[in-house]
Amino acid sequence: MSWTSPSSCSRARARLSLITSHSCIQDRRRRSSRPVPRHLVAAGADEVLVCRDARLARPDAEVFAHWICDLARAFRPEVILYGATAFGRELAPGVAVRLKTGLTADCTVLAMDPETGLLQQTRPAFGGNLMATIVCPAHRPQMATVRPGIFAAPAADETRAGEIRYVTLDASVAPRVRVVDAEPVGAGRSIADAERLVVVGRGIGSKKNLAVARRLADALGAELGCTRPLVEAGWLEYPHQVGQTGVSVAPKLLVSLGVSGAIQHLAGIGGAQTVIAVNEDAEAPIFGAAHYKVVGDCIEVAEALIDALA
Amino acid sequence: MHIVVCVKAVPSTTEVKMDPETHTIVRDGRASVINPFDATALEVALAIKDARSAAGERTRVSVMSMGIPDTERLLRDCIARGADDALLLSDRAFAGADTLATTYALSCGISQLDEAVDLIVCGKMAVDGDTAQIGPELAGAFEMPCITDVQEQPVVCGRILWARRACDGGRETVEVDLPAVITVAKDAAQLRMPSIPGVLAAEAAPVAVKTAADVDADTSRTGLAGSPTQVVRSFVPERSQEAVAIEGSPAEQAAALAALIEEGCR
Repeated sequence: MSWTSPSSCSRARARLSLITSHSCIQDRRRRSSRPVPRHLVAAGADEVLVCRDARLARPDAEVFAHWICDLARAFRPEVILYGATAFGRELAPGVAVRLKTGLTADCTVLAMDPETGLLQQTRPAFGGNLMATIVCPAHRPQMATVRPGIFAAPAADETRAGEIRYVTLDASVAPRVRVVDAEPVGAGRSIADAERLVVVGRGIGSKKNLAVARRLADALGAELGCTRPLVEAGWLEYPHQVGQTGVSVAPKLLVSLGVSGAIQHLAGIGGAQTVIAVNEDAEAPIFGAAHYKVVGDCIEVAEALIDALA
Repeated sequence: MHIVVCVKAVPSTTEVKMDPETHTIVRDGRASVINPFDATALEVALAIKDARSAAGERTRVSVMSMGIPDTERLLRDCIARGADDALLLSDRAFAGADTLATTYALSCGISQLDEAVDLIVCGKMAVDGDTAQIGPELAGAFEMPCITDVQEQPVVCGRILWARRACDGGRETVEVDLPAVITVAKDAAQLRMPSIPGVLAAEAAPVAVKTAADVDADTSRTGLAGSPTQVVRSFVPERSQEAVAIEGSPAEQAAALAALIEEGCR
């Protein structure tokens, strides 16, 4: 679970506490499970607050909000960070309103002002057309949700020492939202935290060309994303949709095939480190967001690239 | 049953232009529109009203916004499309509000309504701010349960609401006892067109415009004064460089790309 994230904002003397309700973490890259508290200490936590309680077994934002509010009142942190996942973005506002403090959504840059000690929280607005830097001068804790994938996780240092403390959840807190049916999205990785991504748009021409895009994704070790019209046409499922009404992605490499680059789509790819765009139209707006521009038939280029990578 | 829909006036997004000199949003003559997610929220509320009314339950849909006086025009349009009444919170004391101060103002407005609220419906987020915080903050303010990112028309039966929502792991169907707050994704429904009787009714309908004092709001908690967060800088993100064009035949382009990818795209 990533709603607390170790980040670059801790000052030299600051204490970094991570809180968790999980006893094991799935390490997707190593395909293994490790005990969470040790994992978090190795990742940089000075202290891990662990709560093992059946009411925290599933992500119920209201239950977690009560828990975190109680912890915040007891431990009085200067800063609380949450992953800007769907859950983090539902949970953090519930904490903010109960603690009557500020909350900055979906930050992509965080810095500590060395003079004021204020957390400078920078986030995109207007679909990424405008960036705003926000501070919370007079209320504590300073809180932000942080876009997943923006900060690299620190290298694990198994020799680090950290304190592990067990905390409880108030007996009066009870979940009120009941899950009737869950439809998990396959076992595959979510495109939100993919390191490499191939994104297809209408420019791929036909549904059968999806197979080419899939082969390219396989050759790159990438996941497959798409624009909204492809989901509407039923070519791919909604969890593949990249953009303002879909998923915001932050891969190291994004290869965009036949995507024109509507502003709503561009809003979802602002976190990508390197964007290679292939489109027939040299004036396509996608090139304004790309680092490398390939004007040409995206399927021809994709097929040639599959061969070149082989 | 009483449903409140919270709506926000936003600049028409595709027309947003940034002034490269002042780094502010150019708003010259651009009409504001209802945030598209909030338009969906209104339709979701109206569809619940249709279903409950058909089942013989008196159901009322109130629309609420905090904004400049011109927002009244948009609220009247909501009435033309089927809302029963509208409340606009408009006061200089509300200006410059962040999400906490906005939530406080809206909660004061909701508390002052003449009928208790069973369901609050919000858009998942506003397309100008993208925070997605107002719905869950309102839920916290009223200690109501919250269901975010509802994907389809929810069903209300008696005092229980069922909704299918997106979550990190996929989708899930959840049920909750009312009162509750839900936030809806844009594709959950398509807002109906105004009806001719609706338009006529909207012309005559009273849109209550209330100030902070009218809703007993403590002005130290509203607007800029009541906002814990402050924007200290806003800027247009600079592109470090133009995209590098990769020329040649598809095979040459592919070879160049493969080389780039293999070097880690530095």
